[in-house]
Amino acid sequence: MLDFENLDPQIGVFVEEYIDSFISWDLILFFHENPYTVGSPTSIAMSIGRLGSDIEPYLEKLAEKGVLVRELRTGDGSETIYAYRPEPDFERMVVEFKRALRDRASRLIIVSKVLQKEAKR
Amino acid sequence: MVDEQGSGKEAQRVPTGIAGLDEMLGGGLLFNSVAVIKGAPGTGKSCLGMEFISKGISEYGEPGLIITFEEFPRQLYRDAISLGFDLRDYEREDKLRTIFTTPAVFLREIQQPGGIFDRTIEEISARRVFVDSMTQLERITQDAVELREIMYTFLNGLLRYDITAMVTQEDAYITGNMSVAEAGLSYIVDTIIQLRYVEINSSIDRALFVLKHRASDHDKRIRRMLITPTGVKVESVFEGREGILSGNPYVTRRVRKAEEFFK
Repeated sequence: MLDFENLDPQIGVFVEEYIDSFISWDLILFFHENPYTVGSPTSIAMSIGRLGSDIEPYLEKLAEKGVLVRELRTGDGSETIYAYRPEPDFERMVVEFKRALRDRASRLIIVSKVLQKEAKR
Repeated sequence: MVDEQGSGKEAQRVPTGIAGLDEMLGGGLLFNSVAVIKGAPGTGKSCLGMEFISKGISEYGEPGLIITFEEFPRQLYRDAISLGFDLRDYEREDKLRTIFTTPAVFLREIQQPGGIFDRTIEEISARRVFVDSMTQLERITQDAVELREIMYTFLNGLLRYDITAMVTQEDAYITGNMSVAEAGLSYIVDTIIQLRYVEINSSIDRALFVLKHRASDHDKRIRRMLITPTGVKVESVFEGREGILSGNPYVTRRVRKAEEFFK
């Protein structure tokens, strides 16, 4: 039985706030590890092995939360491009999040939390 | 900028900082020019480019921009560590940006006034750019004429600023066959540096030579290139060997006779 109380409260808040699916999880880690990525939903999706249409809503959510910036490119085949512009505090929490993922017990709790969120959708 | 030769900026040299290569190039690359590094996978194209950027920052105080279409930045950070450079440190100091994107997105950004390329160059006052690799521009179109136009636009977009650029292009052949740079890139760029695998005594060596260096004398010999924990080193010529470009060189008659004499 997983004891949710065992998760670092700061990590719990971070997961609650930002990791609402496995796609957000992938996106946040991808941008953290490749911080000057600039891409369209399709190109970013290729980089994390997902579908452009699947990740677009999550890119939008991260942009609304101020983690990503988005810019619309008009002209032939207009599209939105995204880039990573996190606050230093957010970056620090991603480092803590990665550290928590290396601990098996914490990882299981986080996975379980994300699964619960996915199930509610 | 160092090593000024002549009065105009155009005559200035931009040292790559790569041991042995600047000597071959008569002091370095031409200021505000593009050099292409061609070679088969694994010959060391990215290593040369990363060192050009790293040495620019550490030895010449010139911030740099790496644009990668293929390898994730995290892979470049790791590879650079094995060459003795910490790209993340340079990024933290605002002397480097490693932009990971697709050719289509980046081409659009170059053309966009005030786009991400323009802003990044201004943000860190970049003087050097490394693009890995131009081969990926083929993802935009398969039409040869259109591809050439795209490459032309792309490189001219890079040169709008007072920067000097290195780009890579992949050779399809591991050894043997060799072509000029594809899609007309040979004609657009000012310098062509060719990397090759060479088989010597049942082991693989790397060779480097300068195929073109516009309006400039350069060392035309084929030299051995080493990738070491402290960076790339361009060393001596392949003494006593001929047919290096075939990838399978043979011992010259003079050397063979000398070897027989000492047996």
